[in-house]
Amino acid sequence: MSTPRHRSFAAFTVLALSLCLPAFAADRLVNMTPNSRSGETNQDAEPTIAVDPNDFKRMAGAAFTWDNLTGGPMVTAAAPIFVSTDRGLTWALANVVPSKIGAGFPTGDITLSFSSTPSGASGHKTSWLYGGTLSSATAGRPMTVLRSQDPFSSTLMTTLDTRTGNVDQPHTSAKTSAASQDKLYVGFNNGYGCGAPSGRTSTIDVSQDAAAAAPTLTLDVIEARNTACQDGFAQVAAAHSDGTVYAAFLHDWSSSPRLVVVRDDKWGTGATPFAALTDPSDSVAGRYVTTALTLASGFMGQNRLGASNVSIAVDPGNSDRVYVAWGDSNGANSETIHVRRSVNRGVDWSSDLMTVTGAMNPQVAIDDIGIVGVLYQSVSGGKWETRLARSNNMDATTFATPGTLLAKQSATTPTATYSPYIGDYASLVAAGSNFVGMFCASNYPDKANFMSGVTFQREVDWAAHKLYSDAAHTKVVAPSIDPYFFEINTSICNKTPFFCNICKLKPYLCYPIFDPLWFLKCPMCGIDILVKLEDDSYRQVTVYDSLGKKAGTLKRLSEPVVEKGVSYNYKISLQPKEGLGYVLKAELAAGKKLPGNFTPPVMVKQVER
Amino acid sequence: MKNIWRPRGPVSRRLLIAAAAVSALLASGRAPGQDDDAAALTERSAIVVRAKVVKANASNEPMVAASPGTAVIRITKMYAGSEIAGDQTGKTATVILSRPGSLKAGQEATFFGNPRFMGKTLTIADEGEIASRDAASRAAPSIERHVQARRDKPVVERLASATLVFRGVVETVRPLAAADAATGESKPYPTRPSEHDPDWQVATVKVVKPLRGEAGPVVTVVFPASRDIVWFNVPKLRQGQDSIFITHALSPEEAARHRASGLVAFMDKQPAHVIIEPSDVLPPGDEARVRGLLSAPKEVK
Repeated sequence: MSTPRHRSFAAFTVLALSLCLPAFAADRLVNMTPNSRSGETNQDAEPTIAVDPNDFKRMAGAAFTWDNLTGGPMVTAAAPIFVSTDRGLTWALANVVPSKIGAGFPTGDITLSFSSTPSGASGHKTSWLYGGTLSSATAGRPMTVLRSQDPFSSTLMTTLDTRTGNVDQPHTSAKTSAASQDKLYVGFNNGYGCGAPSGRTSTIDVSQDAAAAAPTLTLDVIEARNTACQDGFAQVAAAHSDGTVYAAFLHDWSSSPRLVVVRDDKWGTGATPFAALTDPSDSVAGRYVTTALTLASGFMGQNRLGASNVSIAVDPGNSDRVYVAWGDSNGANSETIHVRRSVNRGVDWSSDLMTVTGAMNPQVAIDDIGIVGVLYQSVSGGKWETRLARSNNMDATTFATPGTLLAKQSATTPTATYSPYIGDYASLVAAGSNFVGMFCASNYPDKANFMSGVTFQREVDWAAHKLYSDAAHTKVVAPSIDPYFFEINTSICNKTPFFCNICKLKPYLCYPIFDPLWFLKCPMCGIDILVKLEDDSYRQVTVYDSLGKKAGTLKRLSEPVVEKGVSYNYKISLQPKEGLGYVLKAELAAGKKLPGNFTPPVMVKQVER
Repeated sequence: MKNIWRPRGPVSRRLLIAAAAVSALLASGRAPGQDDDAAALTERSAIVVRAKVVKANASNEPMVAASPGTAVIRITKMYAGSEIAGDQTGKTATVILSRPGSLKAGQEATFFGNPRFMGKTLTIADEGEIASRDAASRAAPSIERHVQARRDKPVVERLASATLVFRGVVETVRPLAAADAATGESKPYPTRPSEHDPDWQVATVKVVKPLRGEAGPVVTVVFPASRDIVWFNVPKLRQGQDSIFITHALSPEEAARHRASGLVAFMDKQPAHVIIEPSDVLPPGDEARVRGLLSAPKEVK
């Protein structure tokens, strides 16, 4: 039991530590509807969120959000997105997406992604923001690729490309290459309803330099097999900074659907892009991850099923590691979600690592210390539950399920005004070692239904469970579907308790390393861990194994080892055992600070000894 | 009159809106040109407010830096824009002025603009301001008419491309597939439909009063019954419904997109018209409004 003196010392220690730590955000959940829109009653469904890799304080999100309060035809020619410059604490609507006065919907499906190229905007420091949308500005709602130099100045986004016809579900992913080019991938269904030759509708609109003044975009058909009519509506891409680009889609959606992953190793350049991965059954590009699926159909908790639900993420620390999530039927009016992974660049796939029945909208992301997050929404007891599950072992093969409960709101009220009720997808990305996401749910105000600490920007009386349009709380507003932002921390503790003990004071200075293939490929081999460090930033980097035993320290190489343009200047040689991982624990040199987590470039080589 | 205004926007767009504005004037018996500045500003502005400048060189919005181009105003009257963020009367807002430094604290003006940010408070990007009290007073009565002209814009656009305009009563409604069956055509979809499937329905509408075009006694109208985001704001017809109908033909692009749904085949076999925008069906009380809008564009052209 601690004495008061001890408690004050502890409090002082915590305070001192907190002052020393970088300003990492605490777990948070925020209703994004701004205060000035407190009278809003729209069904804001189908969210997307993007975080500026250069500064996690800068974020942008979008949903089916009207410029008016009642979901009526548009009254302006610009649809709003949500923007935040304080890491999601507060949000404002910025009217930046081209729309049309009188349009029935503000924008069709929309997704956003930041690159990490500073845009050079005069008004605000920001990276380029890209988007894919089904535009309501033009007849026929074409798929348009958009770009904003400064979403925080609320200037209309520029249209980079327009694709007409039966187009659907643009999913946007941007990544900046080492050569400072913005690689942009907007996956979309090009020709649903049997509108594409041989039913090959899975397509990615690609730019190899999207930040250029007038970027070129080319269509890459990533479906290499014929289908009876079309592929699934979602084609999602995940790019790694080494040039590896994965994409996932549901092949032959209308007849015999199977989840397929394709890969390109050079950003999607070359004569036959996205053909690096073939299936052993037919040697055709595109690896089958599943056998034939029965897709979900009907409605669950007022939300339609079967429209999308495919997600993919690549480990930012190792492009060999890739995870997919998808949904299939759980009987009538219900869906089951699944998560699988590959550790050899999509060649082989695990069985299900996570399965949740009665759930949909799975979104998978991997943070910069290799922890995997899975966001999903399930119906249980007549309520929509939105949860984030995080991996909890070295190999990220097990998950702490059912996961952190973000919201638990009625699935029957308010009544849907259109489809989808909450969205054909939710949104999850990694921001350093945290997960940042966006989902949609009822805004009925009851703190018991939300993660602790939830905040509403709109006028609310939590005790009376009422929303108001005015600050005086005289005009009651009916509950509706609102977008929510959340940020959930992870740390080395999500890997193993031993690492947690070793790194408990400064978890952000610990970087875990593990690959099951070290042992599986060659049990007798050793490994060399090569690391690139800025010489003057660190006093020492100590290596511990996942049982908590010190394995040694990184030693400076007399000659750096250069691989793929990276010059590794430190090394440690180790003899791994089955299931054993390592953590690099850094000690900073005097006066040095890190802008974020300790995530040095690392390469592991197997060595026969 | 001190009028801070610069014309913007393409000529064709301005012409179209001018048509709507003039139509409103004609309907009111006023001669065009009397308040052109306010009309043009209102045409481009979703928000029109009368307000007093609380603080110049100031901003309430964290994302808008205070500068000579910004001011915080207190709104005393809303002519337009309450759909966007509710009634803002008595509240403060930030304005990005059309001409930096043009207004001082304490000065009153009529602000014409569009929403830039909707955060804790509203931020308006001005198209222009009318600062003179006299000019604002003169413009005030006409602003409301021009606000209506802006609201009419989508209807004017749909009227410009309409095949028929008439008042009618819906007699029957049935799914397009059933209609196909009646004509012996096979079911259009080889597979289950897309999430954005329009779910076409066929209505027969008895014409009560033709307003433009040569409609027979009964018109076949196809409409999307889908509740999908893309379609739910398009009016859904029900038996006995009395409305103003602004019908259209399928454009070549629409025909290509909806070929697989069986719509094109259906329309090839019998005269039929589509309604696919929110403004294509209006309440019967809008008949005089539609008549006024129908006459105005022709006179302007």
